[in-house]
Amino acid sequence: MLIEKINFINFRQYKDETIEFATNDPEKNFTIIQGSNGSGKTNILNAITWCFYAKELHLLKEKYKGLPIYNLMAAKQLKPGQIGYVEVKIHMRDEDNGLMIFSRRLKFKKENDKIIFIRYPESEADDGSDFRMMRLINKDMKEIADPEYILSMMIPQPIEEYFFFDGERLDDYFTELSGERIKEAVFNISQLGLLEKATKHLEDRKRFFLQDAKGLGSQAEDLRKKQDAYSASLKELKEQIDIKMDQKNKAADYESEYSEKLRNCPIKNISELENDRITATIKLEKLKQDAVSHEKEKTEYLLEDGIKIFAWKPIKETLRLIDGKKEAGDIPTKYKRYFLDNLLKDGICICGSDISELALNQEHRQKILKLQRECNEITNLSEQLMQLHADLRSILREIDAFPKKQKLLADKTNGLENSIRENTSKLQRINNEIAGTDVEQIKEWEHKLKEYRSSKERYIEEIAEDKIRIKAINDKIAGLGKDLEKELKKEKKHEELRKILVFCDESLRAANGIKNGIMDMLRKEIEEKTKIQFFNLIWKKETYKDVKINENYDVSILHESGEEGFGTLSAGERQVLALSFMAALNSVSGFNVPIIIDTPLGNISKEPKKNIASNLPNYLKGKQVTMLVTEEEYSLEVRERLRERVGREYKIKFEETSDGSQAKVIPYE
Amino acid sequence: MSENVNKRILDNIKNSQYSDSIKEFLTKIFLIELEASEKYKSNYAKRYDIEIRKYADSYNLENGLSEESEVSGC
Repeated sequence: MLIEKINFINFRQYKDETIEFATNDPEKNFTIIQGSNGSGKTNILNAITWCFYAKELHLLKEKYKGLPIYNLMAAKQLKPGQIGYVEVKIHMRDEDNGLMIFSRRLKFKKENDKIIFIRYPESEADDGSDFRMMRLINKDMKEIADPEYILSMMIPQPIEEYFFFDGERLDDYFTELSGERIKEAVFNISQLGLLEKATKHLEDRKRFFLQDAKGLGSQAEDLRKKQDAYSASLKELKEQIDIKMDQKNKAADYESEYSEKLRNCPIKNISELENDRITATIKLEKLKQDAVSHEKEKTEYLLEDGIKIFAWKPIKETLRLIDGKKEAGDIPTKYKRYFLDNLLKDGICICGSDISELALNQEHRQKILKLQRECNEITNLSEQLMQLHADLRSILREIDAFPKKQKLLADKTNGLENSIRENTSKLQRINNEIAGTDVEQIKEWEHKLKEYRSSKERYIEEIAEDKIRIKAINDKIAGLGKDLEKELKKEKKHEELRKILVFCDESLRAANGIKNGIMDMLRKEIEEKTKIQFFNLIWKKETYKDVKINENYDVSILHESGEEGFGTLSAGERQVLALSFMAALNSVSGFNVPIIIDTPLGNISKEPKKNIASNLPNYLKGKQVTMLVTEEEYSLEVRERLRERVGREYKIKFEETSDGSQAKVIPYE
Repeated sequence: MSENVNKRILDNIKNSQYSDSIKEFLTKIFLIELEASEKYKSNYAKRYDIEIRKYADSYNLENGLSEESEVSGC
């Protein structure tokens, strides 16, 4: 992958600049951009990282951090309300020489002498800038969707610093960074970090599956036992039904048999007849008893009341005489004896006269006493006659009722006689009917018929009840079947999860094994490459014997004395070691990304610089390299040693005017 | 995608002594992580589960899961 060209519009000191990079000849793929300190070399790196990731990742110098990203001269030239923009456009070629253009644009506006930024509505960047990617497809440049994703596939941000790096920082590389951090760098650049992340995620998924597998202990066995128990009951019930069906059929057969026998019998209803015969016999006996009782009652009546008929005439005559006396007013008497007795006792008449024994006038008393005497005789007789009259009237009424009573008695006699005749006749008829028949045999048949019919009906009822029970058991079995199905699903899921967990375990073991294997291999490779490059670049070749990187990625230099020599390295030597290490990391990364090094030879003195310049092209062979150098770094000797590999050479011309400063990238003269 | 992947990892997975299912699965999840890291997204669970279920089946077919197979962490 190559950077072909970068366009800068209003990016910091680059108001309107284009830098074309060495691309055409693989043997001359070095680009040199020389500039003095502060002229804008590092901002070329920042322009690249801003374009790619919306971040200026190389703002090292504090003084730049406060300056805006837009070009101050351009901002000053803006009229109030006028919109300006910052834009960096990077033209790249992929492995197949396909053109891709990445661009980022940030809008700003002047308002009340201040510059404000205007976010692009669709922007996901912190600064609100707009990122786009165009690609040459069939001779047309077409916009590509999701440019962040495409870019991240090509140059992931976490490993950007191993391709776009600041040489001045390399001096402190091993003093600032611990072995752990270097290990992390190796992880990132080799993408082992991704494998480790995959391992962690796999462990996470395994925990999830383990959690999922909990509570899947199956109750299928219990349900199966219950289902078996119900099935056994069902079987038993069905067998019983079969037996009952058999019994019912037998009873039905017997019923038919006795029914047939009785159908063939001349007397169809022998039991009924027999019952009728018994009933008639009992009834006849009762009627006869009633008849005897009635006859006795009738005789007694005639003896008692019949005699009165002969006295009818004298009774009539006596009544006539008494009635005559009554009509004559002889009876009853005018005065009652007890009335007169009371008057005399009280001594006062009802008229108020004194009738006591001491009364002066005894005449009134004497009249009362006379009446009392007369009253004695008449009253007694009158009362007897009145009583007699009543008695005779009663006897006369009885005599009058005699015919009626006699008729009633006769009717009853007739009724009883009729009933006796009817029953006698019925009894005779029944006896005639069943005469010559084996009644007991028929009765036995009838009894059997009734018994078998009853038995058949009982079996039918029981079978119906059993069928209801069978339905209930079947429902129960069906319910258990559904529960069992659920449990079996759980069982199946449990088994599936177990398979998954075994697979996860094995995958984790494999991932860790592969990861550790690669890590070890990478470490050895990086160690080897670092060592080779270090001894190629270093000028004191006899002073140091070996470069070691242990399992914790602690880098050590073996001094010729056999002691650890890291502490004796000069700043320049440390920079060379770091450069060697970075290059080694770069080479094992597997990414074919251009390398841009800012001030690669900053801390290195004259002679070693020449050595590095001689070896660096070989060391970074096949890579597109851009070196951002100072005049001191890019000495004549260095330039001479790099000459064959340099395809493009520029100088940064820095201008300061009253409107602000700007940098221009011009060909190296 | 694979052109941006460190070939060394894929080669190591490919040339390892593990079963084909494991190797294919590890390659898959590695690529998922690569894509996730590049797209700045971390919704891996669903994609992992799909791949785990897919390869667990073929792994168990290849290796025959026995009753004695134990799972660590159970």
